[in-house]
Amino acid sequence: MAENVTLARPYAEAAFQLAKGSSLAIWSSALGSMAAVAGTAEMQECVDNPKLQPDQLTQLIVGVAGNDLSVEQQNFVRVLVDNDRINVLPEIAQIFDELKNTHEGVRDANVESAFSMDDTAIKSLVADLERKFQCKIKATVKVVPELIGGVRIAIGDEVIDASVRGKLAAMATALKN
Amino acid sequence: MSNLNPSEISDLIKSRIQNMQLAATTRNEGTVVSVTDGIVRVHGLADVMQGEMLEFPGNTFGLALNLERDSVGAVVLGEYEHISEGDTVKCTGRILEVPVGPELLGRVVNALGEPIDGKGPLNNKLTDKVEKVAPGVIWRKSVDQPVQSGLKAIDAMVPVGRGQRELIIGDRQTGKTAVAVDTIINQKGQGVFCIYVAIGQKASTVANVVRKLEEHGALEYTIVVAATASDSAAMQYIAPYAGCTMGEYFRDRGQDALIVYDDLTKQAWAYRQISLLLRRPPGREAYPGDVFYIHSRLLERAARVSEAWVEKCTNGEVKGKTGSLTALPVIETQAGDVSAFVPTNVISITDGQIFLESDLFNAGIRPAMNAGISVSRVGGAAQTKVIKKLGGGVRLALAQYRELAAFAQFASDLDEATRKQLERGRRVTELMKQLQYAPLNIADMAVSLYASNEGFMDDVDVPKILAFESALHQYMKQKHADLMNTIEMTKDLNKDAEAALKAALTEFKKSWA
Repeated sequence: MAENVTLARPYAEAAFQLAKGSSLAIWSSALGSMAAVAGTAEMQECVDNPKLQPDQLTQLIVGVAGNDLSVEQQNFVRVLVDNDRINVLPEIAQIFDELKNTHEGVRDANVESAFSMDDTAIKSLVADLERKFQCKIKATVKVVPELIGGVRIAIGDEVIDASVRGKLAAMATALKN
Repeated sequence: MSNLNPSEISDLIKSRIQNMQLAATTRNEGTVVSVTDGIVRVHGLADVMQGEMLEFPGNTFGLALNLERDSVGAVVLGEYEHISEGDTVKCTGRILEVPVGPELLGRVVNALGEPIDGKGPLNNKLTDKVEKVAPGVIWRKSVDQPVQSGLKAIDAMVPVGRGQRELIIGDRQTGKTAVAVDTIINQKGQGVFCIYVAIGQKASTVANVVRKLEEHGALEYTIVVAATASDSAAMQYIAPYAGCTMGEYFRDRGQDALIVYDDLTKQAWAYRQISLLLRRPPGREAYPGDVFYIHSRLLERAARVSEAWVEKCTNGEVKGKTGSLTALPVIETQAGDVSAFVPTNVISITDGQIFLESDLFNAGIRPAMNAGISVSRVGGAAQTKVIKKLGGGVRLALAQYRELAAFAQFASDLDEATRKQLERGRRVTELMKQLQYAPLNIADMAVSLYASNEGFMDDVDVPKILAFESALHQYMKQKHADLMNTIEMTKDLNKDAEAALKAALTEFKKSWA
């Protein structure tokens, strides 16, 4: 049983190769809306419905996702329907965004802060992160009071924990061992 | 929880707080995708290393074993019931380490080196990596010092040297553990530290071994590493490596150590379980492809190392001393099938094997060693001189006896020479019997072998051989203590000693009638 990410990767890479020629942003938003559509419970029901012909399913997804899908994008949905891989659309969108970010030299950073941060603070933080990771950083800031103090930054798998909560947890582990 | 010492604990906490690093660190994190019987799949952890320790919530640790494209397969060390999907997993950047050092002697620890004997904390100063690479060819020395097992049959026919790997193989209930435990008991005062690694055994069996070691004063120089049947497969898999690391501490400091892996069949089973749950392809007998490697890399770490290696390991503190780690791996066969996968593997890795057979065991020959197929490939060079001199006859007598015994059942009248060989063989077989927990020292063993070789036992009734032997030992201890001391110290039998021994035996024969 392969994992969804593994199944999604070839599709995402194919879509990315296509999109590099035209527009990455359009493909990204299109995949995002397609993923949102495929993720709903109603659409899951349709996908599992054996009475629905592949043509009908394709039309349904394209119709719900928006009329501004290009021919290539519509064909992409068609391929997914034919291969019965509509359910991996969320993963495809995710991998596509990762590929796009790597291509553009941008990385997403999820910043969690105990208190709300003003623009100057965020800017200096992003500047520091850009220096450390040698790439552009797209930061999304979220206020998490549970951190007690400080910030916790997640960039991909890498996590910089400078929060009071993280330090307390580290202290607890050190004392127990 | 007993004997909590408040001051000690505060000190412990203080030192830990002082040594704590609380700077903000960058760490790799992932999320648990699935948990199946102690095997965890983790998404993320892009920078994880093979064999790296992972930190799970609830003060639990694991080992990263499978690095795949989109996930990491890890095995949880210890309890895993509290880990659930979506939990955060952190890289630690470290390889699993266990405590090492003389503080562990006399203690019973689990596979992670945590004490489980209720005797309080270990107070160890050092820890070391569980998985280490064995010393290379340059750093080794040939095996030329003996490990006395104290069992006549083994010391005379399959001698084990310091740094050797000698397999103990046999069906269940053939006395495999007994041979190993007797060897540990016989190391008292020999300067050999012992490690007994119990893998997948009943906790009650382990408790029995510990009690026996304690009774015979052997626990003070022994470390018991226990991964019982109730421990997770990961603990059973890791236990031999943990024990080996504890033994290497002594080896690398110019001391001698002996390690018993009881038994590696169960370790292979545990590894098979882990591998199948990690979805590695099964091979012969459903073992994974690297089941040979798990045993070869473990047993390769048992070695005799040179002075240079010891000097290197101790940063020049210990000079001119060689170290050794002798391994006695145990393999349990099913219905005597030594051609199964794991037994053949371990036979080919080790420097010889001691075959124990149920038929012999049930016939009352204990230790139930089959002398015909038991060998020691390097021990000959290490054998104690006096035993080597006297033990050669035993092997020959038994070999001739086996050849004739089958044949003699059909022939009614035999010639004198054949009859004599049969009689001698019967007596030697009887003489090789030995009680459990009664290891013999070199001098006693030499006297027994000499008496048999020189025909002093030929006119003793076969059932009375052991009584004759113990009376002889008593007599020698009382009347010829000097001679016995000389043999024990020089470990050799020169012309004078031999003459004295012969005279003593003749004298003893007169009184024993």
